[in-house]
Amino acid sequence: MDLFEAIKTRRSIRAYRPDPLAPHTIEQLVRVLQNSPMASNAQELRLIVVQQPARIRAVRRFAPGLSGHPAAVLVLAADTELAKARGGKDGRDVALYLNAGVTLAYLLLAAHGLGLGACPVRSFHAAAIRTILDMPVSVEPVVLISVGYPAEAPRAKAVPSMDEVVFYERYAQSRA
Amino acid sequence: MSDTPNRAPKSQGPMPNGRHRLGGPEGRQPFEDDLYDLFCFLVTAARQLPREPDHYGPMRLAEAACRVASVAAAWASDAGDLRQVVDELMTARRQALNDPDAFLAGLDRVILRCADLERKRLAEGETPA
Repeated sequence: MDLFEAIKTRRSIRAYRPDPLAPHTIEQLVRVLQNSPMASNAQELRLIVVQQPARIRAVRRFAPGLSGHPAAVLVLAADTELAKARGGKDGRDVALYLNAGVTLAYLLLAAHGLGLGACPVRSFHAAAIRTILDMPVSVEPVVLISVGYPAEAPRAKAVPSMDEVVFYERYAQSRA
Repeated sequence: MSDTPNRAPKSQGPMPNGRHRLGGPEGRQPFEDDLYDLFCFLVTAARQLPREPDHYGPMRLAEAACRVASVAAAWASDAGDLRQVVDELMTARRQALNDPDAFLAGLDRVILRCADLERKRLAEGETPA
């Protein structure tokens, strides 16, 4: 799939067919982590792939934002101590989230390119997710990503006009 | 252990889909696990909602209502009306983020359908004059 086509057509998918994901599909998806740009090359991000139905259900119980029954849940997490050690205070407080955001975008586009539906989820209880997945306190779950074969058509998305959000040379307050 | 009326039999361990085998009417959802899902959902949502956008509250309540009705429909002897309500509620819930007005209108339709069912039930229970 062409990159710009992928960017244009990707939408959050919240309903999934029950089909499992093939191991090579998961492998392709998680390799994105190696190629995502990282501030200070901190490499503080971690990805936990959850595919066991019982564990997905346990995660889902503490993630109100997680809709449907995905074949996998990816937990994009960050080692906050590593982020501080390699990126300083800004690395831990700011760059970590930029890195996670960029990596999330890569993962969502990669999933779309593989014919998968995916949806980022921020509504979850971090300590509960840590407990379920045996994560140390220093590793913070930043975002969950539900993944599976789509069982619904992408919903229409309201987007602002380009005039409202893009400016050339100077910010123009009166355009909106 | 014998089963008490209106209660699912004791769990016999997890199934491949993560649910626990609880018995109950064939082809129906394991009752206790679904209620536990809902319990965790509600408590976690209550904890998370104060830091989330205001309109997530109605959306989470609609989601919870869908889950309650789904569990009830799975165990009801005649759940035709209930399933229709669930379908309508799920349709409305899907519009919560992109079209808040359509979401509220969908909730109105569900509420009025429930009120209409109540009216019919009351009429059925009335003694003819």
